[in-house]
Amino acid sequence: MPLESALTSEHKKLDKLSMISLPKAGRLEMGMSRMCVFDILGGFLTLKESLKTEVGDNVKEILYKSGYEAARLFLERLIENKTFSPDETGLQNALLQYSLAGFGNFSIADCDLKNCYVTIVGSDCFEAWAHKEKKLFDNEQVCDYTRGVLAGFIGSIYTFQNPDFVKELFCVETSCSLKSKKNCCFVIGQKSMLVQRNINVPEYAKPPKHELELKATSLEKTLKRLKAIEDISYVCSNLFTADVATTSHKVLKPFCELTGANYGVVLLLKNFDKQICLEATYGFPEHFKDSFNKELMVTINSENIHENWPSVRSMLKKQIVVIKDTTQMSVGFSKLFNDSIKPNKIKSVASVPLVINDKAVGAITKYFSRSHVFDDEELSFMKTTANIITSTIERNHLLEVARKSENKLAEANEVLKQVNQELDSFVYIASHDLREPLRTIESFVSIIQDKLTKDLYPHQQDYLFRIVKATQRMRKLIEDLTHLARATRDTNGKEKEVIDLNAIVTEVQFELTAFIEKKNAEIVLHDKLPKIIGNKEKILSVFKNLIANGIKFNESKKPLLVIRLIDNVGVALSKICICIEDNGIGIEKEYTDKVFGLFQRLHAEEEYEGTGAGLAIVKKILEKYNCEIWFESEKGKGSKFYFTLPKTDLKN
Amino acid sequence: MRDFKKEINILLVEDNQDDVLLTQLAAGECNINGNFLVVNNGKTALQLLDSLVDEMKKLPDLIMLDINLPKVTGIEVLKYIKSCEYTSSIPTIIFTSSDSMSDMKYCYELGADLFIRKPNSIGDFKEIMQYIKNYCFV
Repeated sequence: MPLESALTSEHKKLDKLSMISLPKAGRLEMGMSRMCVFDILGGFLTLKESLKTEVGDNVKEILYKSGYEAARLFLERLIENKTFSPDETGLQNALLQYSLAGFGNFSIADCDLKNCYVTIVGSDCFEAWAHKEKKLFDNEQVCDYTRGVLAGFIGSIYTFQNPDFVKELFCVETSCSLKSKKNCCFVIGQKSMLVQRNINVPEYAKPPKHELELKATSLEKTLKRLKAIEDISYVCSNLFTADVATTSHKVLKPFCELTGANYGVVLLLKNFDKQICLEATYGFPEHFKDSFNKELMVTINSENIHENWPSVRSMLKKQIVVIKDTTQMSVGFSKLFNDSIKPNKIKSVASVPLVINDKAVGAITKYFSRSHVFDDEELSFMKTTANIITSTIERNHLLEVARKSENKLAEANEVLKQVNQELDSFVYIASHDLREPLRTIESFVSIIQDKLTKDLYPHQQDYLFRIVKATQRMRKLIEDLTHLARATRDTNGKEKEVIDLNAIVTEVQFELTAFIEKKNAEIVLHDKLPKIIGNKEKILSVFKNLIANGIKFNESKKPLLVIRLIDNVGVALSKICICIEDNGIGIEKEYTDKVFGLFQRLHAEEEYEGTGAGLAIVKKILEKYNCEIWFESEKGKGSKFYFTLPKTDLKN
Repeated sequence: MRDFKKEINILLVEDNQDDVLLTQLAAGECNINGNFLVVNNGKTALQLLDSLVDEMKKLPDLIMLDINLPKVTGIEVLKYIKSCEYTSSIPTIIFTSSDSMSDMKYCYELGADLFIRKPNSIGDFKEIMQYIKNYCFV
């Protein structure tokens, strides 16, 4: 190698080198080193320019790095084979060697190797010369490669003295011979040292690799966080029915593990806000929770609690509390706390309040045994975790409220059911008992009517007649009331009879024979009706009331009733639908709502006798079977009453 | 054939005094020469029948029994009457305001001779008493 041979034989002669004079051949030659002028102008500068088009401003840093690496490789080898000593002398020799090769005429102006702070002066390095030739220099420092070489020399020697040294070295060109008449001056040192001496350290864009490394680190961090969030979400997704304690416990672990926190707690307000409790802990010994709850109970009103417990402070202030260095806490943790984690000590703490509706209900806190810096991302992650716990608390609260109102509703329903039952029994018993005295009245009135009528004045006879009519009417009302009450009463298990609806119609016809004959009515069973299961008496009552109504409210010469089985059109599959059509007087639309009301009559009693309970009884019986009744009618033309009955598969 | 002009003993188990009066009135109208022994609850009726049987005294010729009675119901009394060999042959008429079909069925099953709903007028009362007279004493 020409450089090495130069070192061994000739460097002692070269105490001063005058900077470059260009021979006409376009070549500069010093000692044994050479460099072609167009190598510098064409090769080096073109390289820089084309690099610049590829990587932009990163080119400065790339050149600096390559200079640094070249110098380091060169010098380290010479130090290792003991050609140069790793000290100021060695540095001087290295600079001399570099200058000997034709570049810069460098010498040490100030050397503080102990602090790795060196000032080097020179005149005219090759880079500067090239830029000058091409008129490319501006206000920026231009000699990036040279800066790298100088920094590399210092770095190599300093690293040799301090093997642990890993920090970056900066080299700043504080004056440039191109811009002033002064010499070039380079200051090399760590950034902090340079800044301390008021030297402006320009920040150049880092080469892509460095950026990528940074990005990779940050991505790795994000990935870790995402993993933790995934863990927490997974925990949460399985927590739909979990209580707050379970949620807190499960969320706390990823919350702490993400950033390597050593301990963690979830504090919650309990017992109607009177008590602060540890809901969950991470990293603490088993007995910690109970002992601490006791301590919290005792100290809750003491002033120290804010200071002892960053969690309590964050909760009461509704703010995130971050303590980077716990030695700065005015009181410090309680003895019990410190004893629990011996021999460790807490260096850093961060606590996030749990806030619901602007009210703090607790806090989630993590503790580090080493000092830890909490960045924004981490704090926002802590807030997210806090939100998960508050959502669980809110959800559980809502669930509880829902459960309570559900229970209340069920209770109210039960009461209502009971009241209804009592009312039904009351109606039944009352109607039954009312008949007794009424019968007595009727009987004795009939005695007077039989025996004494001839002794009475006409108006007295009229009064008596009115009494008789009223008692008769009252008896009818009471009887209907009894029927209605019976419609809702249990029938002592007689709900499971197989009923042939055709037979029912026949039976109704038989019971109403006198009435049918009197009105000259005809009942036509248009379709064969199915068999169903139910209570015969009740189903009979449905048909009887409807058929009797059809004949009663009928002014035709020949009242005609047609009973049809309707196909399941708009009717639930579990039901059958029957229609009873008459050619009667019809019902006016405006009375639609009244028809099924109890004791609702649309006509004067003189016109059509009856109490108006029939359809109410029918409706009530059908309701018992979850069935419906409705009608279509046109005044003067007749009505069609439709009703459903439970369909029964008799094979089962 | 019994002589209906002869005085007959009728045990009327009825707690409603109105019905007692109406029954007696109707019996009178029908020329029933009845000697009514009125008991107003089921328990006394049972005790009475018990003592009559024990002392071998004359038993009533006819029993009219309400169902809804204090202390012991008419059904219980009917069960006793029809299960005791001395009393089982006494015509027993259930005379009640119940219109329940199941009550009627049950009473006939237990051996009641007649199940009659209490009527609403003296005319009906008379008709019923006439029927009883014919049924039991002719």
